[in-house]
Amino acid sequence: MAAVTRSNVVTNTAARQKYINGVKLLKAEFTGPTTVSLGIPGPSAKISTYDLFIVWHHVAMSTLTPSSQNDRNAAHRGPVFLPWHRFMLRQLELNLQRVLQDNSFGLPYWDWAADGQLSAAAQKTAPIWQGGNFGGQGNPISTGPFAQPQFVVKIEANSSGSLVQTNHGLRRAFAVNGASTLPKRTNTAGALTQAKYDQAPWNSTSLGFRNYLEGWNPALGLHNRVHVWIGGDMLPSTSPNDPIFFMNHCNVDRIWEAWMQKPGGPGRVYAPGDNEPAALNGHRLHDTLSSLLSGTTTPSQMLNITSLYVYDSLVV
Amino acid sequence: MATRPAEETPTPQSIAAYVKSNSARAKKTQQMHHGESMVTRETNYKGHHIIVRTKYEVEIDGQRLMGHLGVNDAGSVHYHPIPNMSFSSALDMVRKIIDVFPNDFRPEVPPNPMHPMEHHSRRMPGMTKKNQTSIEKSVMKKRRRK
Repeated sequence: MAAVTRSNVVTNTAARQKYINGVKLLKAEFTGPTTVSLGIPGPSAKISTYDLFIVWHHVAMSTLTPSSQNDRNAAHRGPVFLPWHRFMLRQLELNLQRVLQDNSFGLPYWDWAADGQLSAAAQKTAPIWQGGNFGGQGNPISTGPFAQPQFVVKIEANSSGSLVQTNHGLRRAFAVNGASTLPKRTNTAGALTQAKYDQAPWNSTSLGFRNYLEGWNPALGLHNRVHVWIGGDMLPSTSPNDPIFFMNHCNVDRIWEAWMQKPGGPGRVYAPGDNEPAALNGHRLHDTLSSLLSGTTTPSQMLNITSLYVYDSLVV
Repeated sequence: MATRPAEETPTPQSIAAYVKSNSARAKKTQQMHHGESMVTRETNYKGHHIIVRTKYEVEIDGQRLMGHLGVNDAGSVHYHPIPNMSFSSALDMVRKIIDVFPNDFRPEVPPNPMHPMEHHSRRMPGMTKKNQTSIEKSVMKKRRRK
């Protein structure tokens, strides 16, 4: 099967519309799992395939690696952040292809640094937030394809870190949680200058490309900044509730690919290697990644994906 | 040997089977309530091994917050249910938790003149019921009878 092309969600109308349609199809597909079967309290309710991605993200985030420390988890705050999310995106892409019956579909990305070049006020009304795209902000949002009643949040995390059933419209609140603007081109350029992928202590204080792009060092950077700027349902561990989550992460993945393909750059390298201590289990090159609705994989297998998909542009 | 996911085309049946096989792990994370967070940070310095243990107990309106709180090596605090944020102040973090989970922390309701104690009975699903007062319990009983 030929590699699919991932393109800009704002400029590629066809890819955007397919993504919106596909999300709705996955939101309406129920393959068997229920809230009871996954330990979510309340009356038994079927969980849609789309919502399984929300559960998966939450479960990975709730799994400390190892449990004796309190920083790294199975998907964040450590080296595995980029390969784990690449794995998740690819699973979503495969499922979207399935329900769209279109094997040429490539997950689009949101080039948020382009919007970051706009004024703070203009960022809130950028094309991505228009009604024909992802809709705007609100509690709940009232415009676009993901407004109630077309799109309803059914599972979310509560303040104790448990998954609970709910029934509300999607929430967004731009620029009110501590990030007044989106990342800019200068910020993404800064990520590309990082020489090392990651390094000890392999957590949210590390220096290196992964932690720069994840957004811990420097603080409230790139990926984290996008979550915080959007706010609402993009803040809890169930942030995939907002379909913009995958557009953010597809752009994060694109920046990772740009870093690996940079002329004279590091290439497809990853750290830590397999010779690092067991305390890094889950983050080493050939460790197993947390999975829920598919077989699993390793960071090693996520490094070169060019046979699966390519980006239409690596200008980040 | 782990399978590269691209080698498998998902089907409704495969999704159901994989979720079933992973359900125990998902259930386990549902039971990870803390109430207090013991944070251990370790490092080596000039041949010495350093361990710093810090215990956090967070209460809001007299009720314990049950999620996991962490502190990284730089001293920033974070709370797992809001994974993209860190704080230099634990108080700022708790303020943000109240903002992010509006269903758990409803705004203070003015007392009902007919039932002056009812404003105490706000339900906070993210918090332990252990500290529920006798007044709150009696209000809940009355409501159930109705």
